[in-house]
Amino acid sequence: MEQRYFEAVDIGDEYEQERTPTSEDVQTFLSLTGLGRPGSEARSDGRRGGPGDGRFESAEGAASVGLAAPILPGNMSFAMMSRLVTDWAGVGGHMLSLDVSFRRPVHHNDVLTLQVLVTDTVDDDAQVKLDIYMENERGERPVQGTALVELPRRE
Amino acid sequence: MEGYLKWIVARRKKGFRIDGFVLTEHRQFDPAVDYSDLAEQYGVTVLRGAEVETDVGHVLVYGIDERFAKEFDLSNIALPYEDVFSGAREFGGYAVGAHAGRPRIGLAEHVAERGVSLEQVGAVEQLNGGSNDDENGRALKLAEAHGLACVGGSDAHFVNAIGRCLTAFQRPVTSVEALVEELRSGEIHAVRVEETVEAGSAAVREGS
Amino acid sequence: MTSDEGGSDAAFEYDETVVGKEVELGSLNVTAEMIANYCGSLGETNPLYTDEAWAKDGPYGGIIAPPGLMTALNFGAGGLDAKVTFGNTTFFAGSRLESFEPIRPGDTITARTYVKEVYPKTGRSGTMVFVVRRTDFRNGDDTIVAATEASQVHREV
Repeated sequence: MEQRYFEAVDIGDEYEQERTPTSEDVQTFLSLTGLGRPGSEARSDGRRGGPGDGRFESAEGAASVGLAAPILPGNMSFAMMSRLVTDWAGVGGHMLSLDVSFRRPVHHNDVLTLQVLVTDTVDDDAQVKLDIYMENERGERPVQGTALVELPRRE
Repeated sequence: MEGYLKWIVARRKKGFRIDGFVLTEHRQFDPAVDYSDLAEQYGVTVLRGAEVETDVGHVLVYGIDERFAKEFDLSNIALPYEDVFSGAREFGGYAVGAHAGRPRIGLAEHVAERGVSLEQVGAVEQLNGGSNDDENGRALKLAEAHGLACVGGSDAHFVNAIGRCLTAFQRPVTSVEALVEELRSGEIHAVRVEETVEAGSAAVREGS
Repeated sequence: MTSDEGGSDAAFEYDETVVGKEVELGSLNVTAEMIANYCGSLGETNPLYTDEAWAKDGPYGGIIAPPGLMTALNFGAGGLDAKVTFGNTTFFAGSRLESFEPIRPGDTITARTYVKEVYPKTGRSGTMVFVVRRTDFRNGDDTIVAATEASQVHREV
């Protein structure tokens, strides 16, 4: 894994990863979080528990809430964006914050390009501000956000 | 804010022309906020407006002050649109129908389906950086059909989106008064940032 | 006590007494297996989180949890319900995570949460009502190691 150093980063720098989350990946994630368990109820923070209506697992469940196909849990998209940022930063970097908005559904097997764009550098703290987004094969950006990362300096 | 300004400076270095932008925060307007020092530091014009929500969709208001914010509850998501357009003028400003081609929150659908009057409307946002081509096309049709002036705006919720779509003016705009005057003149047009390379003066709007 | 908001065409009600009222969600012991499962579901390869031998000599002296783990765990309870009377379903609209300190296998994390705000908005899909909830995660030393602000949207489909 490449280590990124603060001095080597410029506004406008880009980085991207390709991801195609499968139904199996979604199931693994669900089993970890408890999302979508039978009988689980809608949780008002959208973070745990899950709606339990099958929107993450089946076409029928998705249709029941007006979706064309089963979707990834928002937490899973969030986790993918978190990984994008920590991969970009390298093992010596520290993700201070990650802010993600879900604009459209992300479906199983969508071919996703996860992108980082450097928008600002703060020399005093060796911090870097990033715009991040997820683009699908249809050219839509279902997930967008920002991150703040602290990078090591070259010795 | 500083991130937006740095980004514009970086875009300028790549040959794009972005003279400034109008910060149009959703459903809020605090006249006390002042970015003039930062704006001067980066050589970018920064003006302030607001994006309010009405019964015919979102509306951008420019050149407003505390009187407008006192007259209208900006947290209301169903403000009476004709009052907003006329009120903006009354308080020395100007209102523009935001992302006019978008379903539900743009003017075009309300005109097509409910026949709402455009008597108070002089301009719409025809190019919006967050709208797709079809939506921007619907906005253009509305403007052409009703003789409305067209502005462009980036509708940037993220730094990298600022300046995607802009408004080109005939004369320099470095104050909110000049902005209102130019909007009222109607001698404006919407452009995409790619068109600004070696082109004329342009300003953008930024949302949050 | 309820509050009517949103303008005449988009009125909704919610229980405003829950706003700002913090409650404990519960505690979880973060295990190496939990971290491995999370990493496995994402294809994670960062040795900070996946390679014990490498991590032993790394910046934290051992494996730590990826920062996103806190947004994925189930602490049991769901926090106070704002009882929003709007729409017929909910979607996760977004989240902000702040990461303050490393979280290690063996840490016991306690989560406390409160409803920060409830507000309406209109968009392409019509009127929506957002509930924003802030959650702090503390380790056994009572240090806040991470915090989230998650938005849930209520809407009609």
